[in-house]
Amino acid sequence: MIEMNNVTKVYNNGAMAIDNISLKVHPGEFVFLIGPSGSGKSTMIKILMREEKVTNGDVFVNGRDVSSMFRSEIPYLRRSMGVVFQDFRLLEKKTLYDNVAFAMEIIGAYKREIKKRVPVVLKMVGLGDKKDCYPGQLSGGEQQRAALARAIVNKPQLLIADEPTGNLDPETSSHIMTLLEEINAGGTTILVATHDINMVNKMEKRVIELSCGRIVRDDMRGHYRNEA
Amino acid sequence: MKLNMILTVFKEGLNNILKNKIMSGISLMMVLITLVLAGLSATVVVNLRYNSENMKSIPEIVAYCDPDMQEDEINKAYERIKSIEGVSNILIVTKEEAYQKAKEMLGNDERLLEGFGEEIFPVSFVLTLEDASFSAEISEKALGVPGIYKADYSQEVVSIVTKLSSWMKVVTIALSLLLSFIAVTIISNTVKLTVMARKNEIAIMKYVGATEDFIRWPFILEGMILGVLGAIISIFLVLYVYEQFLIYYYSQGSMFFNLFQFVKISDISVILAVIFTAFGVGIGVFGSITSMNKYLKL
Repeated sequence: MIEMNNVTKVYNNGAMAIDNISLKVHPGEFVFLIGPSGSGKSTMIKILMREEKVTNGDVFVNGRDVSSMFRSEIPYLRRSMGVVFQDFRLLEKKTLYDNVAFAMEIIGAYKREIKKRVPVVLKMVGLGDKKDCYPGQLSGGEQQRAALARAIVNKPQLLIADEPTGNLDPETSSHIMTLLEEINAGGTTILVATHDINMVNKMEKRVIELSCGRIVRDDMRGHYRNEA
Repeated sequence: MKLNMILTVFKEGLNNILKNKIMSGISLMMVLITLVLAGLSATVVVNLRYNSENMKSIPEIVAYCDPDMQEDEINKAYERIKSIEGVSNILIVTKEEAYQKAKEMLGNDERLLEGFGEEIFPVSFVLTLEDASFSAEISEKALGVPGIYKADYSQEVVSIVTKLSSWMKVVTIALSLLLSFIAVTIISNTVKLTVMARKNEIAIMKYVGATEDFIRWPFILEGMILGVLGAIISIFLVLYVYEQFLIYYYSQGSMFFNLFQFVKISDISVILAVIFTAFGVGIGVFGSITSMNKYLKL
């Protein structure tokens, strides 16, 4: 699913963001990516989405060679993955239904397909009755669930979440994590970059810890701190 | 691109215009001003060229006799001019005929001739030539005939009209380039504003896998629609102004009535429609593309 071989990323200003990382994430895995700010989590996500190009090494995502792909291939890589951000990134002027439908429209899905799929996904994340609401009318947790719905509506093989619970209270965070677990149970590989100690410790999934651009820990059933 | 994606792109392009009414309005006005001004000067050029071509083919010289010439002198001059090689026909316009023609041409302004009689008009000869290209030489020969003080031929007018036409062409091109530059800049800024206002939306589109074309086309379409709208409105405006001018011109029974012929509206409208649409679309698309590349990198 994800394979990184001796990956290094040095930004134009000379800052080393990723330092010779190698890792494998298998299909269907649920992986937490943890580490302090500046440890390289966001750069790693950007590399996986090909928002940033690696300086050295190979990156494969869903069988595609991300490190050497042409610009024109990037959209097709991104269609095979869903992305969720800390700040939800919903379109304020569109209803929830339209926000989710938008992700299908831009990849050329047919209207009847959209009409069938969007309500199912909204129901799945518990927002079936709020499809006509605008993001501003929803709580943070609901907005994040809507963002999740948008991320999974095109049935991605890989779901990347960058601090998905960063703006949410513990109870709401727990709901989001439960949803991610359900999505994972459906076969989608999940990679979550987070600072949320409670969630990581509670869920006991694979934990990859980064520090100064290097992998300092990779536990199959890990915790935020390795005291367990 | 699938049909449903094309429809989405169209929808987004129209939405861009409607969401950004003021800047879209300014862009549209700029395209309009550019095309109307360029169109009016182009109309002048087309007419000048048309007339210079027309005049080139008129094989005619008008030779004027001195107003004090006696009848026998006029007859002699007639015979001599008739014998010039290359003259196929010669017609005498008497003082009386010249006076009548002047009255006709003046129409409502006939009173200008009050107090004057036919004596102020010279007798003239209208020479038809075998070949218009010998106009200058034959005119010279006619001037050499005693009593002939002036010999006009259409080639003189042709050279003036041609010179005027060349100048107008330069003015039209310079004006079009300058105004196009301004229009492109304004459209470019309009699209830039739309792109910036929709930065989040564009970022989301990129994250969910929209292709560059899918993201770009609504903005290109926005420029294109503004360009085409500007072109359509300006075609009607230019043709309206041209029509009103022709109505005025012909109703005045102008002195140039027979000399200067105008291109028909139906003929000019086709040329204008093609040029304006191409120009409008060009300005719109170019304006959009120049503003987007910086903002739309995946």
